[in-house]
Amino acid sequence: MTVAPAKWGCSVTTDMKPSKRPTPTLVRPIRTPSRAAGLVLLSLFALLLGGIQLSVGWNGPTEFWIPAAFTLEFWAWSSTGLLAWWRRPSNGTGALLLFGAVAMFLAGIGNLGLPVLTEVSTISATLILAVTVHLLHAFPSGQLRGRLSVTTVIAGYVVCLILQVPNYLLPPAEARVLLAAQASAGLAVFLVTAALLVDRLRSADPKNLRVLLPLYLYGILAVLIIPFASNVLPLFGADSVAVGAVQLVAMAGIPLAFLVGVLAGGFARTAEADALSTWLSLPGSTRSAVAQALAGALGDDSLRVVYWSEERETFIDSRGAPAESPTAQSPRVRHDVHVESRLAGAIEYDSRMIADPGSVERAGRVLAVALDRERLTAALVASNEALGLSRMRLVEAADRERSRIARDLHDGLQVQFVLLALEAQQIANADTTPFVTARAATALRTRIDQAAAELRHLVHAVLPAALIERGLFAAAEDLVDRLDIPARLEGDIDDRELDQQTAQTAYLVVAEALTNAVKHSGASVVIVSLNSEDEYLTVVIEDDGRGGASVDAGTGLKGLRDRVEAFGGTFVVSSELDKGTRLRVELPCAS
Amino acid sequence: MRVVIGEDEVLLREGLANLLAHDGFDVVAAVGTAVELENEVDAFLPDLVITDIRMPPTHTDEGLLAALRIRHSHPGIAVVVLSQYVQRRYATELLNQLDGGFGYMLKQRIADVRTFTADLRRVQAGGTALDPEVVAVLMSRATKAKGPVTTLTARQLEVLGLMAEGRSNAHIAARLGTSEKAVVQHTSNIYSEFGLPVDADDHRRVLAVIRYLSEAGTPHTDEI
Repeated sequence: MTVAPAKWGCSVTTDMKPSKRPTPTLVRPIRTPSRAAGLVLLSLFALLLGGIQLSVGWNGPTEFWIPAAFTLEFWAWSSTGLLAWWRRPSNGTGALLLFGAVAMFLAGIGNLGLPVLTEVSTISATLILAVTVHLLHAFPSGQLRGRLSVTTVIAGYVVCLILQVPNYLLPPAEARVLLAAQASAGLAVFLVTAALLVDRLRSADPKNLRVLLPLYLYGILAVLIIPFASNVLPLFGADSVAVGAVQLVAMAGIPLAFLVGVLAGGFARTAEADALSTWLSLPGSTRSAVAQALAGALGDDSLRVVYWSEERETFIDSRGAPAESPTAQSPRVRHDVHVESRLAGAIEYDSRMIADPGSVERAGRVLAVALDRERLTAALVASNEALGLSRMRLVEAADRERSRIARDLHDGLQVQFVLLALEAQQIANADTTPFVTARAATALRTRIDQAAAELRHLVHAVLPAALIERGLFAAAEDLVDRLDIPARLEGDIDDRELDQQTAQTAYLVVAEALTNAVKHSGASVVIVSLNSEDEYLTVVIEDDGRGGASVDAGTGLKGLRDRVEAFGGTFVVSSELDKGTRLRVELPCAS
Repeated sequence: MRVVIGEDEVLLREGLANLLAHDGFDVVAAVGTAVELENEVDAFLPDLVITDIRMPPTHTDEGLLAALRIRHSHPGIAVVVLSQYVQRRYATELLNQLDGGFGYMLKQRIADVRTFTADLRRVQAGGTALDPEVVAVLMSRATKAKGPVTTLTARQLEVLGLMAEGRSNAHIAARLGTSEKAVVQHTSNIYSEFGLPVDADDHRRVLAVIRYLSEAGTPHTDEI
């Protein structure tokens, strides 16, 4: 007989007959029956069990509605369990719900009037409570995490199974004390569970609260109502039938609530890998769509994807900004995603929401290429941002240099020109100066004055005094005042709200546009408007000239557009032929 | 005439003080900030204050604001503000707030010593002195706005410009090489063209012309 290799596990071999010559090549693993087939078998089995219970109950000692209700309860638990298992195969919740179904079945068969079954039923009468506690602790991943959770759940089973023993081994009188102990221990388990859930809610990511909060609330209420309804409800005048009905309804609600909770994670009909593959083939998947798909498939809305930047040797987010790593204490975990052994990025998720790292790994493998594609985009965005920043630094450096030159000229050369001219004139005015020299000295003074005037215009072009002294509006007003064609300045801005760079950029825009209007447009009037609104300064320069201006036509507009865009502004020229020119610039005010 | 100077550039401050002293002015204080300037003015109550517009600490327009404040608390003190660059806005502010007795000029005008000191004396006597460059801006604005200014003859425009600088009829006549009588004729034509009332006071008449020019500049163009 050929032995199947270990990795095939329980798979069956085709070659069952003894053979003298082992032929491993013939050994083929038969695929284990698919999960769907298994689940169909299980559901048929559950139907069958329920049917037996119903038919036996029909002739049973109790009224028929009691076994009928328990059967329905059993079916509710088993069907939700099967559904959860089918939809979320990597989640243990489905299996737990099926276990709950077994507990329900065992609790129900006590009503069939068969002594052995009654014994079994008594043994497992409160098992469903322990299962519910287990479900609460294991939600949403279906696996227990943390020593406290594991201990509490085990304690729950001990209370429901071991402390149940006096119920069927001891005479009722003696059992009473021990049963009181069972109730107290059960209450303790319940209180620890409640405290733990509250703590989980407090530390949960707000995005996951939507699912966790209603479920935990219902779970806690159900665990309270089921055992204590028989003590409390009669106080409100309920008879034993009503109490039983309340208990049954509360119990039936539990599997439904967990099913909804598990599915609310956004899991699609198919298994996770199939869902992701389907998504991959969707056209036009947008940025961070990988993260969205993963969050939906794995059931953690707080999940995010980060991308590896080789250049910076760090993880970056989709906007290209460095992504902070989760701390060691944090419940957030990163799973690295590789494409052909090269690190492409990582999936960052909440380990409290997704307990099975295997599911993240599988999803990561499916989406690795898509994630890598997003990584390129993120890297592009990052380098684009870096480019923008360096552009801005260049403009800022130029501005600083411009200011320095203007200041130096203002404080130095301009003063020198005044003093030189003054000295020349004083020589001319002195009583001892011969007439010819006086005339020459006066002429010299005039020429120095002319040079000073040229320097004045140069300094003004570099950095206008009005801009420094009174801000953008006054400076624009000065430009409009000195324009050769009629011009009007409109608008309302608060110069104190503008930082120097914004003001200077806007000024240069107005100056260039006005120069163009005079030089090229043949306009008869120009209107300049300055307005600030919503953190944006809007500059519009409009003339009635011949139009046809273009940013790319070699005018100074191109450099200005670069400058405006470097500061994150917009620059729009509309200049249809014979329809005038309109330049509209928006600049963010960094106030 | 007692003068207080505010100018932050040391060389220029000393040069200015020297030329004024040389020309018979009594420079009682010369300081480098607007705050010191106001203190010295309060202490000495001079006849005339000459100040730079841009001074420490902010290097913006504190000199102009100080001049306006000085004038409001001491209406008898004439003020002259100097700057490396002249603009209509400052002229308008002075025109709107002061009734004569002020000057607004480029620093470079200091060099033409005789004209400059004559301007100072005229301002101290209640007249005005506006820099030719600022007058040119006012004139061109008024022309672009297509008001009555456009109906003036070339000679009348010349006379108007010199009037707006604050010059006397005698000065204008000398500059244009014509008789004072002819200048008077031109000025009365300009007044009637502008619809300004005839005023006996020379200074007030000139001020009215400058204000008219300043007002006339707002263009009446309609939407494009």
